[in-house]
Amino acid sequence: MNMIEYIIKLMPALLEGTGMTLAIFSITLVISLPLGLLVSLLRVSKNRVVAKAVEIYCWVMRGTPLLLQLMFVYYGLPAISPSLTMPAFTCAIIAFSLNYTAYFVEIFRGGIESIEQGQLEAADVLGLSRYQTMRRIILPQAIKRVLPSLGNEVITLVKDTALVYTIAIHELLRVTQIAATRDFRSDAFIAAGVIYLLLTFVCTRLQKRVENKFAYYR
Amino acid sequence: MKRFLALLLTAVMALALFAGCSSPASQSSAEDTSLDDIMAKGHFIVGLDDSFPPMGYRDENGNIVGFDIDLAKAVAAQMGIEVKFQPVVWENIALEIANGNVDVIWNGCTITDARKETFDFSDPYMENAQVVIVLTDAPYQTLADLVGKQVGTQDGSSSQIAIENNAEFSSSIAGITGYPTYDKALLDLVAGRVDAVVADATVFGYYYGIDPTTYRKLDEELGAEEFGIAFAKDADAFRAALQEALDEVIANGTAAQISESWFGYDVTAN
Repeated sequence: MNMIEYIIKLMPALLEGTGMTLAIFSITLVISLPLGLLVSLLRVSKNRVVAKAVEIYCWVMRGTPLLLQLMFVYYGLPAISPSLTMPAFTCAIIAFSLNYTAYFVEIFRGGIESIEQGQLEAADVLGLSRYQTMRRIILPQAIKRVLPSLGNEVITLVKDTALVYTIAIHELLRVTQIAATRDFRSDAFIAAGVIYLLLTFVCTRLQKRVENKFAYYR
Repeated sequence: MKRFLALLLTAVMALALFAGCSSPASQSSAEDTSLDDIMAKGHFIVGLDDSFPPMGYRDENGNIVGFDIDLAKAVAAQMGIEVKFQPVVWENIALEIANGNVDVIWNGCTITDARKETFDFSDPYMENAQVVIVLTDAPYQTLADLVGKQVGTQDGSSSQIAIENNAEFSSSIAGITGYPTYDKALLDLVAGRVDAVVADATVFGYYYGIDPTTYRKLDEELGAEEFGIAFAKDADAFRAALQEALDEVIANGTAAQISESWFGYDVTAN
């Protein structure tokens, strides 16, 4: 069987794996992007205790491997209490969302803190409340500034989904590896590479469109 | 857009190069120098997954040990050369041997028809059964008791093939959960996400030896299979020489001795 025939034969399995990759990717993004924005507001809040708590959360999430966090949620929690035994997919979404929220928090924080102090003072003089200042003045500028960093993180997420193999979920790369082990052939890796490239290509194009939408002052 | 096309083109070319390397040795040279090459360098390299007890794994001091390791050393001694062990990622083993990073795969490798298309195998040197592992206090006694239950195993393993080949069993269970390694499947058996785990008898023997209170196996088994040593397709001379040494090691009782020390009985094929 030549390479093309072999890859065509594997296509249904590869597409199923791609579906799993996309499911984890999109659900994680839908949860962690808004959550990241909300929690970043707590991160810059004037309440010291809240800000510190968020800082510690980010430190733990960014300071340990995502692979380890996945294994903790899946294998570790049931060892603590059997009632914490959840299906693999739920475990994956929990671990990915918590991890990516932490990264998004730090990105949004950077954007918020990059707005000059003078604008805050001006808003204060104009009699805007803290909420109005955040909602109308700071966030629209901050989000615009962090778009490139967010895009980076989104592309990383596409590839990070491959880690769920460790909790017995079969996404694209895992499906490919299984075929390689079973058949002792490595051609399928090429197909997987091309599929990842297509996925990240779509992400890059979408990012470009969003950036153009936000570029209303240029 | 132009830049992207250029990038894509580069990527495709890189992949093509990769593909060229990985295509199983189709351009065999006119003469077979495989044995001469091995003899000239004075050793052969065994590729193995070093997390596969008791066939090949790391002991507490980080040394690679195991039944296959001892057997490979005995065969190398018989041939009068050295043997080196190269840990590899099992999924990439086809690449490793195609690229010549390792000379043989000797790692409890089950002989299957699909694998024979890519590699040549030695004669079977050992028999292995597929056993069904459950928790000690589980109510299951026979395969029939597992109707509607979830069964775990290692992805792409011969255990998975054994489940799928047993049509009656595989259609009676709820489904198969595939783990990257057997130890993760056994962890999840304890967590309760699967009700049974199918694994090599050797794997069960190892974990049972460590912890005889948690697991037990059903009396019914899922069929036997044979382990062989895998070679690149164009290495006939080397394969023949190694086979001869292996036959001698089995005939003179060394293999049986090694087997006794790892399994408590003789598992080698006669």
